[in-house]
Amino acid sequence: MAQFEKASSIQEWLDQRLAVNTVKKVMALEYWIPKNINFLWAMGMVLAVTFALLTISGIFLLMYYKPDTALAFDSVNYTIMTEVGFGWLWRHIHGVAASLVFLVIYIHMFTGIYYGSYKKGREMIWLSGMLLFVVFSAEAFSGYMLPWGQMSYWLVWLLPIYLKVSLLILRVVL
Amino acid sequence: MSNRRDFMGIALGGFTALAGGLPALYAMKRSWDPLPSVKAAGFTEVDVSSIPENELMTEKWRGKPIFILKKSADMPQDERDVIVGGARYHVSIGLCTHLGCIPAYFPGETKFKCACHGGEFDVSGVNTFGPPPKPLLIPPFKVNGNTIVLGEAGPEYLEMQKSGIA
Repeated sequence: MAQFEKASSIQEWLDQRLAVNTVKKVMALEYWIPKNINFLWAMGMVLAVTFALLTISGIFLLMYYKPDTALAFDSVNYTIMTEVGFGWLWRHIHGVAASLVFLVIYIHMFTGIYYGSYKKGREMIWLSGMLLFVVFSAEAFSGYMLPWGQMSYWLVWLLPIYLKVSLLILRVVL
Repeated sequence: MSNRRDFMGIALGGFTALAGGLPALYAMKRSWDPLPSVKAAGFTEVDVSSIPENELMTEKWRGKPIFILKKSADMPQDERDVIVGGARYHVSIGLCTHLGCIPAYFPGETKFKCACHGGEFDVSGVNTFGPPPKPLLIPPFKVNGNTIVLGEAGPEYLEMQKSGIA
């Protein structure tokens, strides 16, 4: 690198600067995997697709959501669910996908533990996954707050208790 | 398409994209349509006989703010004025023609000023300063006794449309 010649294409220009050809080789073209791996190895891609669904449905929900303690509940349960064309579809996609994403995360995590994908040389894979898990949990919590109904309200009450109990269990286990 | 297997893959992929993508696009389009409550508010009747002079009244019509201002006798006449019961009124959609912010009315200066980029409109809604490219838009209206019906095109509105100011 550090040798720059006049690029004849955008790809070449990017390759000189970001080594996109190497990235492509390492991440796709020569990312050899066994032919006979089972469905558990698909969970990462399933998560990516679910996340895309959450993003798209979330964008459509935020077009009509009102971030106000007095207006939020009706904007979700009346405006989005009854008035907006297919608003109910976006909300159900968003709610179901948000639940499913955690189911798939747990399967994904189980796959990593069962096949030892966290062992020497792969520590950062486990750690970055754990970071993503915490970020997703926080995001799910904040999303659960948005309709501001009874379930949202009492989750705020429950969360510190839940965290305390989790820490107690951790202390007993460790 | 080198062989049967590739063809099957492309056919299945294409069919899935069509079967999933087209309904999704339709649903997205429907989500952007005006809400039933917005459509139902298509006509708004405003009684303008009791509003004080030089005091801006903001009505809501089809989800947009509508400026109604009773002009005092010393204010200049304008072809955009709406005459109801012998008095002159300024009626416009209260969105700056630059980028759609809602201008505020300053009765002391008899001016509309937009907080976003400093655009100014005179008491007849004509742009006098700043980035707005044209005067405040005039909504379809009909004069009915002492009231203005917003959303219905009356003869005065059609006249304005013909002369190119509405």
